[in-house]
Amino acid sequence: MRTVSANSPGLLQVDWPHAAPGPTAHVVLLLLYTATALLTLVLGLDRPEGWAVWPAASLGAGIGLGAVCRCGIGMLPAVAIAAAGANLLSGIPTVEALGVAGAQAVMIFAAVVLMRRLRFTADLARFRDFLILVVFGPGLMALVSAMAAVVLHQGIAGFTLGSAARAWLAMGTGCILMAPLVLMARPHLREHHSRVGPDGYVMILVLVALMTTSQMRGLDPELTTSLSYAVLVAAAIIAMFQSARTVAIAVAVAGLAGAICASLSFGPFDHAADPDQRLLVLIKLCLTAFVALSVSAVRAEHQRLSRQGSERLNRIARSGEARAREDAETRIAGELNQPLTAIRTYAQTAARQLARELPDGDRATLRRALQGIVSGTERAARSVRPRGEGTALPQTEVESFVHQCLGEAGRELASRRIWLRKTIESGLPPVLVSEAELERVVLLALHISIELAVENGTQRSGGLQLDCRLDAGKGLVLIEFRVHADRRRSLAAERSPGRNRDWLGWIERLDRFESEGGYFSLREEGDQHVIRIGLPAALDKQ
Amino acid sequence: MAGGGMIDPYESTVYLVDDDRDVREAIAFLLEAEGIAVQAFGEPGQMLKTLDAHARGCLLLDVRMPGMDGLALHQALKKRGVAMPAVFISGHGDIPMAVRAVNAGALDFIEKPFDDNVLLERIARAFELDARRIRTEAEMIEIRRRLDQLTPRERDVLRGIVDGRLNKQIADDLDISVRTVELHRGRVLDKLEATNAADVVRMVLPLVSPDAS
Repeated sequence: MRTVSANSPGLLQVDWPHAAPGPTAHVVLLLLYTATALLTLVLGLDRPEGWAVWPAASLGAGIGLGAVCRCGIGMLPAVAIAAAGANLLSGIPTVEALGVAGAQAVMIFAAVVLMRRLRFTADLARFRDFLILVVFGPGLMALVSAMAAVVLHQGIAGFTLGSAARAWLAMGTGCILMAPLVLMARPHLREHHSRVGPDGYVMILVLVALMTTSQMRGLDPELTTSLSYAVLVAAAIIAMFQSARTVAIAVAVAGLAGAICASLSFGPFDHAADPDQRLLVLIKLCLTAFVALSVSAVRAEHQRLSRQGSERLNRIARSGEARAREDAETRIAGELNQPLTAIRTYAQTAARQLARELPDGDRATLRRALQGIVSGTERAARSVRPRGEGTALPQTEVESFVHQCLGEAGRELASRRIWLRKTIESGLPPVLVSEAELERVVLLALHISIELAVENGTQRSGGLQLDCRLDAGKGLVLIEFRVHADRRRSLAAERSPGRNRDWLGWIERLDRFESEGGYFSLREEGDQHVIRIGLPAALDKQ
Repeated sequence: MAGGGMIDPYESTVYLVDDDRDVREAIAFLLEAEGIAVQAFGEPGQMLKTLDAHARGCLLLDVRMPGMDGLALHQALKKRGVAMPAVFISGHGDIPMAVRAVNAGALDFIEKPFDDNVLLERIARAFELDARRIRTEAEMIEIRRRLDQLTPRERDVLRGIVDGRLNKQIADDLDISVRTVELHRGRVLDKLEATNAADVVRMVLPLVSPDAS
């Protein structure tokens, strides 16, 4: 029996729409942008000097982000064109309007990439999706937009030759100070398999340079502000191209660099004149570093758990292979047993006859027995092939095996804060399933249970329940995993094709297990997901 | 078909099915050497065509065979009224299936290659069970024959006896005199060839119990 309910969430997988948007979508987008720009101008909501910043970050960019979320990344050129048209209406120079439009397209692209990394789903089925859409998307866009505005309006003009030299000096000092830290972090990164290529190190150094420069004294205040923005933008850019762990470490290193620079009292970092401000900056930067390192630690833990999940799937696959080998060996053994049975039976019969001291007349019978032995031996010789050790009888003590599996999974469950409540009936009979096959199905059930528990936030609503008992009527040992089902989640969301349900494929491959009397079912019962494994029990019928 | 010859339909016979000719002939050879009648088949279909409810002895079935496996064959035979005990013989990988066969009513299974003593002991046990089954069936037929001789009123009295009611209670139930009940009771005992009420209950109970065939 196999039952797989449609309500089977897996790991999240973002799937943006890829269909090419039609001309109607383009026209609607253009009209919306134009209407928004005109309305803003008529109502006088924007100061002229801020035009390139705030409308882009709020109204227009919001429309652009919505269009990309709704119609796919193919809308991005249309967004750039619409933004250029809307900005031209405000009367700013064409070059500046094109620059703003380009920046807007870039920031929407950046926001979309970041949202994808945060596993945003466009169907907004979860509160998390709203949070990502409302906070991260516009927040990041505002930063990019602000940076673009500062560069366009003030950046080049405010960066004099003298301040440039001081800035380079600050950057160089910061990099030299941080180089040992980066080198110290390398083995740590390697240990956790977070590969940081040369580009990653360059990005980290850029972030450090920007951070140290922002702590310089004597710069134009506008430029200092823009550098502060630049730190955040650089962190966002690193987030697009590097792993979250690398980003966290980069931010931590940059924060520490800033803290060290802020504590210096010489050259470009002469903060002695304003000790209070210096202390404030120090605290802020240390906190930044602490938060970044915490994020890094959490991320590392998530990666470790994810690795454990992958390893479990690999073990399931290996168990399947072991089972296939076992099947092959069993077939060979079964084939070999046929002639062996004949040989043995003939030989035993002959021995019986000899023991009875038959008269000469029965020699024909013995001759027949001997001929049978000879032909059987020849056939056995033909059947013998080089092979490994013969497989043992497929009987497995389920109780000790389940304890062993749970012991291995215990640390992972604890890490995920999933508490396990288990009820294992004592005196369970062994099951007529090989250990490899049992490992495969139990690990699969455990994997699905953990996935479901994590997806449904079971940490807060009942944990994972395991029951092992004997169904004597059906001659089965039942292993049941029960996980609380989140009723608030829509079935439509669960069925979305973007969901990663890799384990469904594994369930489909349990034919062999089921052909030998076992069953594996996944279904909803009340407010619980129930995974039930039925194992044929070796019951003594005598 | 191996180990053929004239088979006495009333003699206990081992009905063997194994698709492997060597195994089939070896087992038939062993059984014949031990003086046990054997009828061997290479295909389940041949056995299905040959056997009927009157066959006596035991079934010796290979578990894994092309087309129909031993378990399915056993079920098909049971549907045809062949109630002989079945012993399964199995290759190495067929243990779970054989155990399920036992759970489904087979007497036992033996893993190949087996010891001849084990096989002969199982067959002897199967013969014994079959003989007991036949005896029980014969007794049941005889009891039914005797029961058929009872009149409707004697059957009513018999029902009261089996229910453990006293003569007076039976008389009240049937609205007849106690003397009449005693008269019917005596006739029931005579016709059933029983000596007392306990004897009557022992004879009738298997026929009315849910397990009675």
